[in-house]
Amino acid sequence: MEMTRLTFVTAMFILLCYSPIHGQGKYKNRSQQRQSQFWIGLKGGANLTKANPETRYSIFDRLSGETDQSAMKNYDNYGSLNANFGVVFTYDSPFGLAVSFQPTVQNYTFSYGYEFDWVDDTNTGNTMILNYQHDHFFRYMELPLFLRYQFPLGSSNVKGSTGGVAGKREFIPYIQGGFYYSRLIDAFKTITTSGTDNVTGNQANIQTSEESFGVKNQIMDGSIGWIAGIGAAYDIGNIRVSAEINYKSGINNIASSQNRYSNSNTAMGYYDVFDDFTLQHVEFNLNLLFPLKFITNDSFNAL
Amino acid sequence: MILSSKYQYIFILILLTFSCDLKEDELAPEESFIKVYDVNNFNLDLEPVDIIQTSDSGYVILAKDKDDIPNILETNGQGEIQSIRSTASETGSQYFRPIGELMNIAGSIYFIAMNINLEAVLLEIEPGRIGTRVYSQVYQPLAASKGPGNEILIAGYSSAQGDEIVTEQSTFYVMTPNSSTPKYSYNLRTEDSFTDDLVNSYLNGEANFPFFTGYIGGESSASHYYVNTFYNFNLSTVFLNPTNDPDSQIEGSVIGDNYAGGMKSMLSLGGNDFATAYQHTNDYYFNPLNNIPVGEHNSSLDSGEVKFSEIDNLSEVIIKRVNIGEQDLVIYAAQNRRKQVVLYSYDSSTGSFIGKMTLGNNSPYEAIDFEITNDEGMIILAKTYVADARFGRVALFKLNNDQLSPLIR
Repeated sequence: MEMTRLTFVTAMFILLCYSPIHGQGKYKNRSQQRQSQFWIGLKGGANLTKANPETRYSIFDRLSGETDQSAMKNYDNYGSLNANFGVVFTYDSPFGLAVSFQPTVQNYTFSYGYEFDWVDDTNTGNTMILNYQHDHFFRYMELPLFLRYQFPLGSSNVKGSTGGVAGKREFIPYIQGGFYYSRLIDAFKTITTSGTDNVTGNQANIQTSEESFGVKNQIMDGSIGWIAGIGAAYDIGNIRVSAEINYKSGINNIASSQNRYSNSNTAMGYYDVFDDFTLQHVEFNLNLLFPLKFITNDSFNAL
Repeated sequence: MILSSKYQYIFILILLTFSCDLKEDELAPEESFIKVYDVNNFNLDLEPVDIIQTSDSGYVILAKDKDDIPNILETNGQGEIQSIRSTASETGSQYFRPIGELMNIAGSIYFIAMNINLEAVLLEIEPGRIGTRVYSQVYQPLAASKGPGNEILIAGYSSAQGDEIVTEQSTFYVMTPNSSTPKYSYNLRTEDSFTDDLVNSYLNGEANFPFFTGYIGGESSASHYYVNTFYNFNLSTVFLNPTNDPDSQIEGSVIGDNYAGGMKSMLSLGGNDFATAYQHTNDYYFNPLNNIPVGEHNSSLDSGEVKFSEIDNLSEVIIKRVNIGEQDLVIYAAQNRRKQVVLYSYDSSTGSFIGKMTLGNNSPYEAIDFEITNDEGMIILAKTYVADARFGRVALFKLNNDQLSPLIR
């Protein structure tokens, strides 16, 4: 389901990027097009997260009823938005390739839920259901390194070469890919318990309760993954604004096997332990970039 | 690209940092786990009785349901249930009130329960079948434990009907798996007709008394047996000689305070040394190195005992002597007032306190039994309550050697 959603968003974005440049001719002067530049800037945006379980672990072991409780966590994929902020260091080469390093603080949220039910076999109207909703908040310091290819555009898109920023164009679509290393800053979860108590045959809701616990010990300190994305930049005066959408996929399991059962609050109170899992993200970013090299005359040749 | 040596160092440092927090020493699933065995039925409370590790590193858990019928849960080394066996379906007979402990005698696992005639029955857990042997002389078994060699020590209770008078007596038997005839049998007069009611309420689950059995001696023979039971108007620990001569059977005793105070749990450390837990109404007193002259009749509370105010007033106390690594320890397990399992560790030779550890949170956990496992970890059997603490269930904690560090010096 989320794959379909992702494909649709990606397709729409590609269309959006390419529609204004259809049918435009080849640019005349490559040297005006392609000059090097250093950029420094800020980025910010929003992300959606999916937790992808590998080996499942559970404390509850059902001897009757629905016995397969090991797969009982229902993950809510890409279910809630969170934000990311960072700084950008980009080097634009004269050949359309750019390298970008973007230390970012990433806030991720993902959740899962599970339900336990009990029934009175002498009177099946008497039931008891408990629902546990686990909302997780993870904060990472992420260090991604991108390699970016910026598509060449027609001359009509190139501004005059007198003054301003080297290689300045109005609209630059790009694709990018790379790897990231991220380090966990904080992790906690909020567990919401609710339920229905039909013990006397009359329905009574169990008082909803909410508790939060730090779970940093249960999560590995580091994570690595790969990134692929598309974007487009637009120059306003000397400032470059770009918008991009990235898909990020974690490579290593981030649940600690050493500390899986060591959080007595969550493990012994809520029968909850993390599965082995990786994280996947779709994120949207707006970047605001400032050039570090200004040229004052036409004969200036940047690196 | 050639990096200057300074940058090379930084580069290597970064690589090391990255690789460290991406990989850890993976813990195998059997090293450490927590399990709660649930049934989704209101009417199937499972109460754990005892646990033992099998030779293939799995576990056998003895439990009883609401009707006191024994259930045997067999798990693999990761605590995953492999089978649930009922004595009713495998033997075709009804047995009740399984009592700890699970005994490994010559590679077979046994426990004691009673039949509908209230006689003790030895049940042997074998693959695919459960063997039985009725100990018809042992009436109303109250506690059992493994003795030296292949001996099984059982405390019972009977009212002997004479011509005109009824004699209430506690009993103690030394049995073996391959005979229904006792090796030794002891009758201990309670001198009090009220004990009939106490035993009835105990068997009905309305009252709890700390009946237990044990012995002083080596692995092959006992110099004395002991039984904690009703004797001579009190709840007393009686030391017994291994003989069938009625005149020289009783060696000495620790006399409790009527039925309100007495030994809760006791472990022989050799000679006259014992690790003891004494309970007087709601108060618990531990003495990990208690010198009790077994040839005398003494009162049970002495000045060397320390009051443990945090122990819950309904807690069981389990005392075991274990070896973890090179260390010879006495470990007490109980339930504290926060409804956690609490473990206290002592040096077995000096009795000095080493450390303590708690397990559990939010939901209640009651210590039932613990064992050192083949991998020098510990398995802890507990009772917990699920569904807003409504239904009683079996819980299992497995800790590896590292996680036991609070209990080790």
